[in-house]
Amino acid sequence: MAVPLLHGEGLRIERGGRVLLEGVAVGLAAGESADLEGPSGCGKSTLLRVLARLLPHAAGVLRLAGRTSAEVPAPEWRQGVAYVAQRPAALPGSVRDNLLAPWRLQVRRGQTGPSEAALRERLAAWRLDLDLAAPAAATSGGELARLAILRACLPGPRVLLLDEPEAMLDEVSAVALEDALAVFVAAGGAVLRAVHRARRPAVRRLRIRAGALEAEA
Amino acid sequence: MNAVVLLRAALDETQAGAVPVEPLGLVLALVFVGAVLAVSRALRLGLERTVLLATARTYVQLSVLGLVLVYLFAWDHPLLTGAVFGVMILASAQIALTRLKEVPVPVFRPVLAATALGGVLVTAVVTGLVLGVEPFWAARYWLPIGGMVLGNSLTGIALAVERFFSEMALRHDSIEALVALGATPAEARRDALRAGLRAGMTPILNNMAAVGVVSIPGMMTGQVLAGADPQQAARYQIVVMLMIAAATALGAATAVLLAAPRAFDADGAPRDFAGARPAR
Repeated sequence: MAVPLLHGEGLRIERGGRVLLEGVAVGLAAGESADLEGPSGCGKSTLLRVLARLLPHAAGVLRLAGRTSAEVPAPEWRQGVAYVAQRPAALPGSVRDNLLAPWRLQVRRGQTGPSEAALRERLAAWRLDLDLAAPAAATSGGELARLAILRACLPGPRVLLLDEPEAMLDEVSAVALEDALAVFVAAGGAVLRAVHRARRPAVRRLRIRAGALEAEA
Repeated sequence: MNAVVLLRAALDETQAGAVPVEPLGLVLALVFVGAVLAVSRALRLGLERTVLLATARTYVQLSVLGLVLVYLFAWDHPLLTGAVFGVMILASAQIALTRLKEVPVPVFRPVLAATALGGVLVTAVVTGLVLGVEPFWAARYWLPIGGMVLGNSLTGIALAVERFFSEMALRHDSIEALVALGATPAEARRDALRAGLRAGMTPILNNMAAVGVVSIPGMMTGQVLAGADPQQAARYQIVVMLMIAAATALGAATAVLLAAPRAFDADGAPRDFAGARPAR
């Protein structure tokens, strides 16, 4: 059996002094796509943030490609596991500044970002009709949501954690996003997506119920 | 010729004799308090008690200070002066802290360390190098100058720390997004740090622009009233403005840099203060 790309075991997650999730086991293999379901406030976003180490876990073990979270410095971990929040955030500057932001960070020192032509090509492939020089803060909610996911996707993480990515999208944009994600998964990436109600559900579905994570057929 | 002699004589007289405040003058100054009380009564501000208490404190504290300084200057022992300055630093940090009640993490130690560093370093440079006082810790120079450094840098330090944490809260989403892309805390907090330090420096920079045109600073006024040559008083004031700017910059930067790690968790993710207030 292949080593799962991202793997969590016995995770206990606490928020504000109380236990939110207990005994969570989750595994994502390369080329796998899964949906995370559950009612509002059950801890979907929190679990995704814990997997990206944006929130601490009180107990349990997290592994990325076999290495535990204790062995991998957090910035390096997040290079492999990219999380995109439900409320998309524009970084200061233009669309170009946003897409190149990952390469301005220490963790990618020495790597060169995509060229102008490559950026335009990716925007087109994601069916994002945006001017690279336009201020990112001026884009519409749906455009910004996809821009934030593309920004996370461009540096080539191995796992994408998306929090309700379709919440702000119309039908056409949602299809465009799903096509782009399908390319990412086909290339060996893994996607875990928190969904309230999926338009086109993933084959694998995980459900949070009463503070525990269970698989659903 | 006559005019020059007269002018020289007039100057000599001013320098020799400052007009002293007689005890009667102190009593007459109470007229001002009476005016404040009358306003409070007429407009029902309910401030009478506070005004009386504040007046009493002003009389007592400054009289005691005058008396204490006489002994401190006479004694002039570095340990004693140091101990007094230590208490001043502690009090200054405490006052800065009262302006930081909204900050969601404990920041007393960063503020104390920053106040002490800026206060000691800048005061030493002014007395030892700029004024060339021998020894540099002479109480007559160290305590008044150190007091001005502390009292004036306190505002900047408090403003910088306050703004830094409010920026961190305000921009939490984009800071988290940057961290999610692999940013270290130092990279993620950069803009908030900049905003904080700018906010901390603004008041002193405004003062430096306005001084001499809009305002005659208290210290210079005091020196002139005490019979000093206005040109000398101006030079002193220039040194004072610049030293306050230096102490503010140094103190604000130190305080924010020391406090900043508290805005992040062990994995370098920005802590979310919007929800429940974390335990202190």
